[in-house]
Amino acid sequence: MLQFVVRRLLLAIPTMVAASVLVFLMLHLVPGDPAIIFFGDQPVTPERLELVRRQMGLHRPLVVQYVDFVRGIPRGDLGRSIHNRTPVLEELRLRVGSSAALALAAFVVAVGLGLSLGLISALWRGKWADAGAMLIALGGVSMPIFWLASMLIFVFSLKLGWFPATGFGGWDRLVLPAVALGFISSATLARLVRSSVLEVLLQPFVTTARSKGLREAIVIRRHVLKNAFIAVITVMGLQFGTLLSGAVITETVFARPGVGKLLVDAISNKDFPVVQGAVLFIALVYIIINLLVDLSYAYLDPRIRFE
Amino acid sequence: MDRMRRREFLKRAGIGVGALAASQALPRVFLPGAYAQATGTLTYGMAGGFDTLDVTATTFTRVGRIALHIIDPLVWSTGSGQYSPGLATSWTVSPDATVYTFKMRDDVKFHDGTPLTAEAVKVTFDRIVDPATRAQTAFSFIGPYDRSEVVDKYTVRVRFKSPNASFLNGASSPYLGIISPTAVQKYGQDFGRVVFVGTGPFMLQSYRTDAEVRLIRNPNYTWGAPSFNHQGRAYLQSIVYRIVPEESTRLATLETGETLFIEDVPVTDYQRLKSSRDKVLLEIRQAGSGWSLMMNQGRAPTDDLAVRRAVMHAIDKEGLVRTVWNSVYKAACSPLTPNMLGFDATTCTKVPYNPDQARRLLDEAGWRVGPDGIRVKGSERLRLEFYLQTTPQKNIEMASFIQANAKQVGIDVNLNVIARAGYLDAVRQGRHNFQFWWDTGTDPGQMLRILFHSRNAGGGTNRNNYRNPEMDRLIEQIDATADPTRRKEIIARAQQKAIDDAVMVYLADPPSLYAHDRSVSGVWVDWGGNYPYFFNTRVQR
Repeated sequence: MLQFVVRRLLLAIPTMVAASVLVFLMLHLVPGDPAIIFFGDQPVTPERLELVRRQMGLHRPLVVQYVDFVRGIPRGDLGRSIHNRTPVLEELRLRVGSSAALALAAFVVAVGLGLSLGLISALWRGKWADAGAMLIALGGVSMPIFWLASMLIFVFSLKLGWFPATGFGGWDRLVLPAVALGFISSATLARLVRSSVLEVLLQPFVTTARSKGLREAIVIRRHVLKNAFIAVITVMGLQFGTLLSGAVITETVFARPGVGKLLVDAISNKDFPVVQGAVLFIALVYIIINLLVDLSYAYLDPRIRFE
Repeated sequence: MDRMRRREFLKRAGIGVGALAASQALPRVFLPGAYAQATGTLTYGMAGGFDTLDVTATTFTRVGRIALHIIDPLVWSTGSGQYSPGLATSWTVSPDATVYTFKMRDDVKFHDGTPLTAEAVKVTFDRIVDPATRAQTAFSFIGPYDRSEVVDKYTVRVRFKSPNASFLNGASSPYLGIISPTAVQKYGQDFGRVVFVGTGPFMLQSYRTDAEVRLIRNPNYTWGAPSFNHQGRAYLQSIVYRIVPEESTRLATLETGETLFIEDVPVTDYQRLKSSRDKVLLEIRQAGSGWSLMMNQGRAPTDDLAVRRAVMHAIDKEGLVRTVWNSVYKAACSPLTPNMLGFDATTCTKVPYNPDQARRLLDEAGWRVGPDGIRVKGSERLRLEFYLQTTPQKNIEMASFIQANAKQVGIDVNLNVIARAGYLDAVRQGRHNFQFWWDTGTDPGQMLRILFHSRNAGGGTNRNNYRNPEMDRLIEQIDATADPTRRKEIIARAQQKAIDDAVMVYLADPPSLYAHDRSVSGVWVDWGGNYPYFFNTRVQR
């Protein structure tokens, strides 16, 4: 087990290198000079433009720029933003807390709602409960998050005054963004839970369990859910990564700082060090989540062993 | 037994969590005003983030809005071309506008305790031109700066390499606000990122990137500018600038009381707020250059004067402001907004909307209507490339309106809506025929230089790529003329010339729209509409 974890963590290194190289190359292939973006619509002489380009270190060969970036990583130095010269690590540190709080809260909503809807719909297949649960899930899949977020603000903040419309810090400021983000993610999960549970329900071992005279609740909990969860938990893990790094619209509507927004802004400014740092962080999050997901398989299915 | 206990535990836990949630939520249900502000704190809903709080280095007007409370300018601008004392009690300008001498107040201290002297002015201005600072807005405001000389402890002389009649305008902007030389030296690269020290009525308390800036009252402030009739400390205890980028959310925060003041009110909510009983809409005509269309003379077919003139006549500005801007914006006449020094009102009648005239001009220039209604000349089709950014959405609406207008006279306009990086690349390289422009500023010389001076062509801000020695001369004369009457005449001539040469199409002049709760009073906004200032502001409970 320990060996498995160590091996997986070591394998993470080439994955992260590959991710950062890819992002680095793609950023340089896309048109747009960071120095020109820096000046935007401000008047600037060609000499001054060149000076800033040099200050940003863009005159150096690409390989040198990349190697410099990689060299700093062991020291915890991800470089400085070429736009505002803030250390990248600090840029990330300032936003990770807010993003993580939102991702966790949204994850709780997504999992709670997704599992409940999926189970209800699978166990009462073909009944009105199934139709109702899947209708809600369909709503979640097809509803633009921008609209849902605005509606939540309108109803719960503007009309009822229950929650503040924006900001961070304090659980009350987390409720609306977490519900918006979580509801959208729960839809996929609900549909997946439904199909997985239905598939397991048809397996011979479920029939065996029932024929042994076990109560239906135990059959569902011990035999059906545990087996159905193998597929579900993989998606749940990936969804957590997306909630942490891809909540740009939710962050914008509810005025919360976040890693997703940082990355999008950095890409549009072609702020290479920030993009690289953020991508590295996100890659690390996904690697850890995948590792946890893999480890959870052994718990859910004792036949799986990490050799 | 085990099962029973677990169930009981879950039941109790459920009751506990429910009770906790209810205890937290109930006050919100019964006291919807619970999120309103404590007296003395003004919470401001800001439309976006920014690069740095260092007002010397920033490129964001928003930073100027915050920084104006932390610094004090040398002079205050009280109207177009009118100035009153700030940190400087008096000043003299040499006849050729190359030397300015400021006499400073002797009773001012920075937030870190450093006394304000002439040396601080020199350090601030030298830092603006230091390439390591990478100053942008401040760099253009300081113009052809040469050096500052400390004449005595409270007198500073600022010298320019060439005449700079607009320097007082620059000195009245927050970007040239005087900063603490001690703090600059102590914090180096961290100045503006974690600390920012000036002499203003408020001090920086905390800054959380992309989230909020908190200012608290400077308890020692006794040097309020005479024009504010208020010599003591500010009335507010604190100001909190919260970044709320989404406009409908920003408006919602004003309605719920989470903010008491917001900027960039959407035009769609203009009427509602104007007739609101508990909110106040502030509408100030913006100074600078309104929304306009740059036409690239470095690329066919907008290198053809007839095509540019035809475009000027083909666009229905009144229809555009009505359709896109709900008539909150006004149809523009000239490269300068009507409140700018030297604005020439005769420009409003010079190029009327007249599609027939546009067609005539194109016919005369040999552009014949082709089989699909689009004009051709030889093998060349009258197709114009319009580059614009993905935001704001209103840009796309304006562009579509212009596209429809152009089609009516046989011009095919192709919209290229692309992200900022690609857009800047295209327009700096001159791959466009059309691009939008909009700028705020209170100095007409600076505005005209940005738009029309040949030194800004070929990749700079003059993306008309208009090169005309006579226009260059006029702009330089504006900068060298300190006499306001003479200056006005030259500014008017430059506007006339820009219209005669069909350089740009002037579309819509915007107002600056702010809104605040009725409990807020005493808000001052500069005449250019850019900087709401809360030194005299109070919040009634």
